[in-house]
Amino acid sequence: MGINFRDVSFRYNKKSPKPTLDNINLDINEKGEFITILGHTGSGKSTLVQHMNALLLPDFGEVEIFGKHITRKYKDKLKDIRKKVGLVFQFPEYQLFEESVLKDVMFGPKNFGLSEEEAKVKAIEACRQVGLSEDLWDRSPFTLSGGQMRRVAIAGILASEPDILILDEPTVGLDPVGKKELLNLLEDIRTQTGKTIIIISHDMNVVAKHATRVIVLNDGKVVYNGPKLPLFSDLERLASFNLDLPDSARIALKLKEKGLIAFDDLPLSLEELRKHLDLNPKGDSHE
Amino acid sequence: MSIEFRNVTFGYTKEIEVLKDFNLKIEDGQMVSIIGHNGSGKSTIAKLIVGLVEANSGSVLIDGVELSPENIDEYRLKMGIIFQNPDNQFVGVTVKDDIAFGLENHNVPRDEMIKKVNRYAELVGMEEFLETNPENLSGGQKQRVAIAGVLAMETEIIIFDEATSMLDPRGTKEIIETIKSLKKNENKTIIMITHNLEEVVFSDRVIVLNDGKIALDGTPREVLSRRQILEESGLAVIDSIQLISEIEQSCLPNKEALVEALWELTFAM
Amino acid sequence: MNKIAFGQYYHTDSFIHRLDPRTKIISLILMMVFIFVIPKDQFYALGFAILLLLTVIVLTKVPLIKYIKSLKQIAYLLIFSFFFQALFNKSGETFPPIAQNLSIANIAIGVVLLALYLVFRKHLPFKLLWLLLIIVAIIYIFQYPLIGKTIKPYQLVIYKGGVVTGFFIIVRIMLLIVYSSILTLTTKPTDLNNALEWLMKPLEWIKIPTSVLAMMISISLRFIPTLFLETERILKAQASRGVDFKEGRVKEKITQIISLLIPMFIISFKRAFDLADAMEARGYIPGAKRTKLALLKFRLWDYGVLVFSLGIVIGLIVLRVNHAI
Repeated sequence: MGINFRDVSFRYNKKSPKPTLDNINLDINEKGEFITILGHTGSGKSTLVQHMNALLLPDFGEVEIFGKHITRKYKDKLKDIRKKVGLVFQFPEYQLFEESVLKDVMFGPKNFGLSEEEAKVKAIEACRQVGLSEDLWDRSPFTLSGGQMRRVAIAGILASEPDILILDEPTVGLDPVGKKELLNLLEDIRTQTGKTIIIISHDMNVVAKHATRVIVLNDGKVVYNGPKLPLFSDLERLASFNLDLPDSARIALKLKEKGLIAFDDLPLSLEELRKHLDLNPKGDSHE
Repeated sequence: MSIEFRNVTFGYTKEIEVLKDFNLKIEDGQMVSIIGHNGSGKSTIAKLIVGLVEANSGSVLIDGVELSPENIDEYRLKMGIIFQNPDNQFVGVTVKDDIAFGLENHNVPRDEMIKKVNRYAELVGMEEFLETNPENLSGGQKQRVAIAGVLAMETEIIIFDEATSMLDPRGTKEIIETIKSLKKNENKTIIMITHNLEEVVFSDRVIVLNDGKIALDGTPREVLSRRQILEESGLAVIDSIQLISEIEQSCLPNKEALVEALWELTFAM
Repeated sequence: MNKIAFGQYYHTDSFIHRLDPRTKIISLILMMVFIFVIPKDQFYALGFAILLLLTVIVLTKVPLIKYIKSLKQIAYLLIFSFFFQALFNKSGETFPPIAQNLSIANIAIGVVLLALYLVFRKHLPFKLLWLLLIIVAIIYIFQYPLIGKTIKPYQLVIYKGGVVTGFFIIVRIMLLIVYSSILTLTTKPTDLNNALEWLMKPLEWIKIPTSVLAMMISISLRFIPTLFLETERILKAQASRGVDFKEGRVKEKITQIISLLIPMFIISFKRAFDLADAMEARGYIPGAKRTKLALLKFRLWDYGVLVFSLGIVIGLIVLRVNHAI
């Protein structure tokens, strides 16, 4: 069970000729996936993920979310869905409002029906998971740095223990170190808890390093849904989607042009590139 | 216009000093990139130059003259800054109004204003959007309007304060291309503040800040090859630089060719 | 991204749209004076005002339904005012009185009818017509005790004077509202702001900083659509955390509202600081002299409209003073 789109179409402006989402069919049922959703600005990525936790209802078709059939006419409660599918927006630090970090992280669980004590336990767990040290828990979230605030916001969704975690551009605005830490955090969550992580990203290096599956949207349609290597290996198609190559892939192609490297499968990450250059893996002799 | 920091000490609060006894000289017409981790003091430098904050001690000099509350209004006429948040610096109700805002403040006569608005909107590729409202523009487009607004004021110093950090790759590319052509066609002093190493490769000079101090200062190639210091300063080393460093320390037979190819690639980005 | 149409402005190219916004504001004020100077029983003068209004509406090329919508807001107020005047303003002759016999039965029926109306209002088209029908029905039913005895007989007396006054009051209010709508439907908010700034300029002589106020309004106009988008975003973010505005006790509702307000405050404060820096860096000094890109220019038609509006007001006043009406 997971999230399944069946012939879903949607448009924000009911009078607009072009739909924001055009006949979407998708299945997200496996555990432990790391899915990246790619596409140009305006291709419908945000709209797509807002259908995954029923913030938006489809105009046509049906989204099946953990057994619930969400259509345009759905009138039942949506809270269960919001608990099972956790959605973190861009700049999530803007959703913080409580007096203390812990209280803010407890907000979600409490809304989903947990008691004060139970919520506190889950909040503490989530804070530990995102790497927020105990001395921060009683502080006002607004006294923290931007990166820390973002982690509080993510903890606030994790505390409700969703089965699927969706993040819209989680690293935008972070500096390189913050970016790396956040992505490693997501990777840890995935491997330790088996949750499926879905992120909207524009960074091909993130895709290369973490993604187990890539979904590409173009003008509201799903134009690619599969592993990353075939996507990046077909340069023409990649360009037609308005997407770039990951840095390492670009380097690999350039070096191949100059005859300095040989490979069959396009290296997508630094590790793969190293192998093809017969370089010792990092951490060997330089530190 | 040259910019100089002489023994500048500054902190937003009494306890934390962002810059301490800071010294820096930027020559007229140079393009300098200042990079560093969040909190390293780079944005503070920008604010000190345009006088949005005042140094606790030491002085900021423009063309040898110390900045003070008395002369800051006059010097601001010669400086333009583009900030990080595309929405929070867009003042006008339309693109045209926003580009004109600085000109209105500088008391430019109306006929001249109209000419400049049209010319600089075209320069940044936004001439079709003059009557568009900001909520119908992308981040990259809003930043281009901000650049047009600064260019229209025809200042001698232009500062880009993390102008790309809130943009997606397409928006970032638009801005970088605009800055590149600026550098090529104009003779202004350009300061680019960022935390992305890829963006500094076309500058004349790169300064790495770490906790309020200058960790590196040199040409892009000089600075980018100091991988360890870059990492210590909290910066993510781009893949090509990482490889260069590793290849140089290896015993690969064709390492010179590889390194040269990688440098070529780095500067072509 | 869905595009937001801001405010009431309806975009078309019409004679009225092309008028200088200052002309429209001044004419509106003059029309308001005209409407109030019309004496209480001069149907011809009122008819003239209505005819003029209809002519201007046609000239605006804005669909009639937009004007009707603006009236809908105050429909209940109008009905109430009319009945208040008709029943309690005892002036002039009376219509033949309607004998009414209130009994428990027919009062109960009246209450039930009103209750049904309130409950089913949402599903009824032409809500106002239904209300009027129900009121007429109640008046009719109250004539007959139906079941049981009459507990209070009385005469429903409606005075002609009251009806006329009531009629004038509601027509005056409707005219005011529709004329105001003409202004807001045909003028962009920024043009209104520029016009107001020009009109308020004299206030600077008494040290009121009109240019600063106008700048504040301009920035507010710029950010209202942005604020809408951000509010929606925060709502969605908190909804993803389980906030459901449809349920929850009072205490929870307060937290829900706080979870919306505090983020909005913080975003707005950060925006204010950033904006102030940006404006200062671009040389803005509040109150200082600055040139303007926007230019308001009176054209021939503007003078024509202004002279006409002034003319009819003066004409009406002269007629009144001379007791011609």
